[in-house]
Amino acid sequence: MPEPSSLDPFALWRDLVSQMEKGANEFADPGMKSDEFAQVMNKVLSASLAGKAMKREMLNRYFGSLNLPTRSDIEALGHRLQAIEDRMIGISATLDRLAGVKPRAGAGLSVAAPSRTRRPPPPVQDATPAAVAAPAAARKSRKAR
Amino acid sequence: MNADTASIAGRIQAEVERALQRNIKGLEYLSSPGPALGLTPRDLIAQRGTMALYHYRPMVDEIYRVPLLIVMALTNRGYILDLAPGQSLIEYLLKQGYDVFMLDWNPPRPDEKRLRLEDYTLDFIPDCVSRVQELTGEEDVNLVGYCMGGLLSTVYSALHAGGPVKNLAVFTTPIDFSEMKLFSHWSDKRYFDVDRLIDTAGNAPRDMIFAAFDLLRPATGVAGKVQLWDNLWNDEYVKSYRMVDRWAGDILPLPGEFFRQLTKECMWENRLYKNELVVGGQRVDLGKIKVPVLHALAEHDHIVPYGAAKPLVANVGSRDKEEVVMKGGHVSLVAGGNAIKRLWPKLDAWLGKGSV
Repeated sequence: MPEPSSLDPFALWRDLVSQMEKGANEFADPGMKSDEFAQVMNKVLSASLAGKAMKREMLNRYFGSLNLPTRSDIEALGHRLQAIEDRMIGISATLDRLAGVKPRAGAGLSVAAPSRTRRPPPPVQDATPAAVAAPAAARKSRKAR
Repeated sequence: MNADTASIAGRIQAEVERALQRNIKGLEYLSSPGPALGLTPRDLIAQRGTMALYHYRPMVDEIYRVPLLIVMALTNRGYILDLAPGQSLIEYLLKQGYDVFMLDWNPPRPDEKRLRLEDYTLDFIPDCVSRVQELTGEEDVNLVGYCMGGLLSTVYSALHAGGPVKNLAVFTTPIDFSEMKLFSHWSDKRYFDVDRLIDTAGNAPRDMIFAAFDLLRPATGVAGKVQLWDNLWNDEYVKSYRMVDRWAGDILPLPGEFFRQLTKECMWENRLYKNELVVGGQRVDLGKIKVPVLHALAEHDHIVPYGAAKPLVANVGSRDKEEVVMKGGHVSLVAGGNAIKRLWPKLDAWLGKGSV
């Protein structure tokens, strides 16, 4: 594929998108730090909460009058099921432990538990991979050993 | 025909080909499900409501003695660390010989709105650490925390200075909340009625948390969509975009009491930074942390800026402590090409010597 040249309109367009993103974020930042923005944002949140609370109350009454379960009734059932599932997982884990099941090896490896004898490879004399890949990062590394 | 004209003609031809590909792949994009994530084989060891402890199956025959427990952020799913084969920190660590566990979080249920920092640092994490110890037969455990998971790991380590944590590695962990300028401003106590929010909603709603993250970079979502359209012809780009986009949208609600506590004690009072945070009757003194500490930060982190994370290494009592600032943002620090080149080998080199 040809390399983009300085006259490449498509490369210019992509650069423009990138610049617009950066510019829009920078432009929005001071506005979002203003007191007015925080006030409006929290007023919208309050209004939304009030609306949700009112809707929930109305729906609860409506479902109650129809003798139907409400969301909280369904949630309560969900909690019971979840509690049963949690207990089953606990029982299963206990049974595994009692049966002496050890951590399993990955696919293609032996089923026996791996030995815990690994040691780190000897340090390489030249720069670490992180430093090679990111000289700026290495420069900023602050070490206190 | 000069070189520039030929180049432009070549580019136009390439763009026409890409436009055709976009139409074909665009349909594929719209009609296909997102990529499967978090596929590294693992077993669920324990689950209690929001808490889920997983053990990843070792991939080598000889592993390090000390098991590794990763604590995920409360607002996000752990599969950001296990996106796909070749792009998974978990898989990388397994292949390097670590015995990896992850403390991941399910969305808190309505009745879990009462969970507080105490529940996480004096119950869930200690419970998981005990289970890891029991399962592996090892007393020592290495702890790794990402973002808010780093904060939980740090608080836990400070409250359990006697052990069993052997090494603590955290990524982008906020300590000085006054430096999280936008979050701090939006939750200004003059305007933000956290009590009303939690009393009404129970848990802090995921939509609100998602909107808050999204507002930090308001133009990025739109620009990302434009860039996706531009790169629809490129399968690798689309795959990466879909993986990260799915994860970024998969935000979890926060337990109401935890959110209230975080807002009042950390955002408003900045108590963790001032060493005044009290959890379960104990003061969280970062100076009590004496184990080796690594703190990895992202140079362009818009969620946890450098100023917010900087005090960790400065305030812990460890003699062996290291802060490393790497190129990238809050997410690209841990996942993607940037992470593969920078953070992963750094973490391996640091953890390896502390895992024997």
